[in-house]
Amino acid sequence: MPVNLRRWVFVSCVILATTAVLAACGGGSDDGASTSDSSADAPASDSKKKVRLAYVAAQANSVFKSIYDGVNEIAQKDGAVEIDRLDTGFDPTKQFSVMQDAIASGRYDGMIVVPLDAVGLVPQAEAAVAADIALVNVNSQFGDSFVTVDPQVEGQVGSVLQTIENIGTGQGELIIGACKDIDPCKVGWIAGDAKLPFEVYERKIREGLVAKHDNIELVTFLDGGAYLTEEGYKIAQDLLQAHPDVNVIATAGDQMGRGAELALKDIGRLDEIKITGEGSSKYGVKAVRDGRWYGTVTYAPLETGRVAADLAIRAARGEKLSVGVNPVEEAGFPQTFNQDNLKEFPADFAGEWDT
Amino acid sequence: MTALSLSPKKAGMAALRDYGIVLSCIALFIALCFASDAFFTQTNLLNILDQWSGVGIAACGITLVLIVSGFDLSIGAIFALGGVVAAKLAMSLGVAPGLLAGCVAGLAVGGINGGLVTLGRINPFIATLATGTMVGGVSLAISAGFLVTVDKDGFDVLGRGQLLGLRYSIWMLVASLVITGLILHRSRFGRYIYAVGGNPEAARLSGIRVGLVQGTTYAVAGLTAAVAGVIAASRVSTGQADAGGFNFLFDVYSAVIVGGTSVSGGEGAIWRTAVGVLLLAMIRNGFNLLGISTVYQSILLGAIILAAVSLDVWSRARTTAS
Repeated sequence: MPVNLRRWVFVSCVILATTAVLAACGGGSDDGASTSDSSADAPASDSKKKVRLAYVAAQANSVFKSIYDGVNEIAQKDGAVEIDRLDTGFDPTKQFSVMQDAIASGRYDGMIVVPLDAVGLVPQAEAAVAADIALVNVNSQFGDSFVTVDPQVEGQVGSVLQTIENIGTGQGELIIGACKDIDPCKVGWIAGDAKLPFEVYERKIREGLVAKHDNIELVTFLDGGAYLTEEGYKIAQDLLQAHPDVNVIATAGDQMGRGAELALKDIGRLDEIKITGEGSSKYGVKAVRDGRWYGTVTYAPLETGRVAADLAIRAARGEKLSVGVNPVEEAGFPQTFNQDNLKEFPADFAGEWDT
Repeated sequence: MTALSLSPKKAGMAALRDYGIVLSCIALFIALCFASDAFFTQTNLLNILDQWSGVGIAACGITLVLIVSGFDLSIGAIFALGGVVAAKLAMSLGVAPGLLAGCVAGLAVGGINGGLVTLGRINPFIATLATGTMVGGVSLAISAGFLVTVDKDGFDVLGRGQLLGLRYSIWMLVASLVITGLILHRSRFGRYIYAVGGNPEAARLSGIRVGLVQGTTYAVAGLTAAVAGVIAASRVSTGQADAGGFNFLFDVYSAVIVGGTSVSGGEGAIWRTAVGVLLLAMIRNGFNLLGISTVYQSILLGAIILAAVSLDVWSRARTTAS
């Protein structure tokens, strides 16, 4: 028996290893799987201090991956910047520890962080500043204010984000736009994770805006989209069963918007019901251009990464900075991309991340 | 001893023990029929089966693992791996080899789990927690953090195609239930599974190859989790390294345990798992159809699961005492 078992485990290992190698080699067009990228192949200029950055975020997320691509683009251009990708998953406690370890390691001149807990991570942000690390938050903030893009931790170099107020307003404007000329307009909302603090605040902003329009009726609010197409699809199926007379399915992410589109396709009602998303993903932007969706809240993750890297590198080389940047404004884009404002975007605007 | 030889009261208690979960399921079904007009419609019922097919398929594998007194915490990660491998290889090798490779990857991880638990004598919680973490890293490495989107014709057929009005995913759920049910209840190997889970030492002394039986259940669990992941990836034409995870793990184990399969090993049945999946599916569907606030959903879900399990434990205790 032991011999059989050992043989069987050996075969399992070989199969898994073969599959993994094949999969890693397959497809071919993506960049490498390394969690540490470097521009070391480019010659470092003597006039530039070598800079090592930590990118602290959930790595298995498309938006955060695009932010990283923006960071890496600037690092590659600079030629004297190395980046370590430190994975935190979507676990604020893990992120706290990862930041703590990164600070203690003394390896980093700069740190670009996607905070998962705006308030709970402030002590680590302060520790990073105290350790003379050029700290930039992206996508969300360190601190308890949801209405400012400015850095909220004293000594922090930069903050690159759209405020939660910006995004909640964008969500509300999309619903209002989609409901234009429909009275009554019944709207179903699919959340990503309604318990997350930023979704709670966005909801307050969004529903406050929508409440000013008598023609709009929010008929249901369903949670659990988890920023996944698969989950969005399932929830949209239930939503359509419970409220077949809905006019708009609005979602907290293009992933769920895509899921809603699949559910509508199944029942042949894609032409009847409008979809809104969030994130201006490649899929979402194309869906709006093709007329399948009404709109999506604009994100600019690549620009976010570029701006954040630029700030962190300059500060690490001695510049005194404390800058707040809204990357969507910086890129010159409106807050939403929708059927009524297509011409306000460049013709080649195609989104920066995959759903 | 059969119910026929028991007093009416004891027989009733035994029946409650065996079929209490079925009664709970029927009661919920009837309640939802009255509470929501949208519930008892063909479309909604088929939606439920389609939505929960992945959980149901993986639950079949986990039922075997639990009966053999094991535990597998890696299935959420294997779910993601199956989808990512299938999507990635479908782009380079073709649709069918890609889908097959996704399933084989899960089988291989399951095999490794089985080896670690049996040959390595590592506690299954620790072993599968570790392999789950590693497999999550492998998925991330394969996808490089991107979603792996497949634009090849035919990749979405498994997840979205139909046969005789039913999605393939539903047919695969039915096939999984039937196959694992036949293995467990109609084969010698199934009897070995119960024997090993009930008393491994006695099983060993009876000549049963305990390690092989345990290891095989982990391999099956890996395969079923990967099949679920492959179906999910096919449905949306995308493999994603952060799919599955804790939510999938929670749903699978909730379904199996609510159904009445014992976490102590030696007891359980595939039909119980099927009922557990249905119960959980109806609860979630009901939440959505009735628009119950998310604030109360977690509280209600936890309370319903606790109540179902408590009823099961109480009725077993009463039956044993009497």
